[in-house]
Amino acid sequence: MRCRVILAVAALAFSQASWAKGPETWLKRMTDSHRALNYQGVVTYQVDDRLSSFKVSHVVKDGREYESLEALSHGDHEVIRQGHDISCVHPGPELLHLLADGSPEAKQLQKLYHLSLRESGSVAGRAAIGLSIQPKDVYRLGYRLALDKETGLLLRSEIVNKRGKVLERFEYVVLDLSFDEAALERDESQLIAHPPVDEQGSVPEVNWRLSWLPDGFTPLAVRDQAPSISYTDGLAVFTVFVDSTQGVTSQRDSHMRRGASVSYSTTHKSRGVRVSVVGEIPMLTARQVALGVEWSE
Amino acid sequence: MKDGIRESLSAMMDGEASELELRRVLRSEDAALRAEWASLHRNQQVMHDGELPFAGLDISSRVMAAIDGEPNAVKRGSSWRQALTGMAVAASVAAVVVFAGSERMLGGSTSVLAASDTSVSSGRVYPAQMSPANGGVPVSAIAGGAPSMSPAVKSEADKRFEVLLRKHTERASLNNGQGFVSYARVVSQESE
Repeated sequence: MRCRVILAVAALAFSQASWAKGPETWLKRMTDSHRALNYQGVVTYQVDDRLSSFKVSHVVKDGREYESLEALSHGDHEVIRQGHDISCVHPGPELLHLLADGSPEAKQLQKLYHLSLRESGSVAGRAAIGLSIQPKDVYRLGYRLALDKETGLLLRSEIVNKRGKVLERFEYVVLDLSFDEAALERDESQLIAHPPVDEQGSVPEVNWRLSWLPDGFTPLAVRDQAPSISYTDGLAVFTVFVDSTQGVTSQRDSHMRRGASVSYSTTHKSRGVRVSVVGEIPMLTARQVALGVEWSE
Repeated sequence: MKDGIRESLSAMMDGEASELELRRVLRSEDAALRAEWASLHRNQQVMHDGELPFAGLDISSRVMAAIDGEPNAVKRGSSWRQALTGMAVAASVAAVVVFAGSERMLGGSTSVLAASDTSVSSGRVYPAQMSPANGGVPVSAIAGGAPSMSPAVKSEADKRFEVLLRKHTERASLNNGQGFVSYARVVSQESE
């Protein structure tokens, strides 16, 4: 079976993991492992003193991913994504792959962040290695990660601002890597269907452009052709939305924050549109991008 | 613009800058920086009718003069609170300088909305709870105070944030290297 071939290749790659490998290799492992492995666990998400917990399940079956995130606290929300082709590599992970392969394009990422490995205790009962990612400019956030030494799976993630304040924290408290695909069988009628996101797409066509973009961010090719463009530097992602102001009561600039996610919105009255920038970036970056939207017609 | 100053500006937006950093930004001779600073203020000064009072005014020199207690700006010997308030009233500038309460601004534990139409957009300056020689007082360039936003507008903004964050997360979870767990940001939002 295709998935077994892929998993076998993944397992081989992980078994060859060497401590001599640098942080770039660990980043690549991180971005591959969460898609290639079968696992189920409980992950906590913390913003300030608010803690939520979720059951995360992930299996690969016939070359496609099936994953779910179920809220264990605060109600019964669940998000499902299924049918994502395991062989599909998206632009963000591709940047990390290039970095690990020593590709010239990858030097861009090294210009943006300081990467370093450090010792880390165990997380969810598994030996972990720490990976510190510090931005070199003020336009992106930092990351303190703990990866599973055996598989590279992300066990803990802290997103920190330039002052070192932790904006949000993900952390597995229980993790079962022997999770079997059969365990995911369930009443599909109860699932919240999520559109499959597989084939490569293109950057949506829009009638605006950005007069300013932080170094290293590139637009994402996406399959859904919603009139919004997302940008990534391989780690951070933000999305620019341009919507009609119809039904919007307030015409004033506004900003929102939750954990590491922010949004900055500004209205262009003459065009009757509202520009919103949403992403895991500093508020100043979101604002600067939002105010830099220019119209091409 | 130097990154150090830019970082201070960024920290001000997040309500985490110190008083010393505010001074550094205000003292800068960088025209672009002062323009940015003025822009941040204007963002908070839009009146309910959407008009921009004193749109082109660079207030940094006045604010610095007030902070330094210069006689041509304010009456010598006045306290910081009096100085700043006096400066604002005299100049009738809708400037907003908040020297406290950073956590209630953008760093709060729940979704925080800070729009321009706060109750401090009436030409007042709020030099709250500061100590003159203390470099550690958090400073925010964003207007604080009690939001005057109506529950309906806030609800609309919350809902909009939720919708956009979900759409953004659909793409972010495929590209940020962290994967599906990123959806916790959305689900925990919905659960509040």
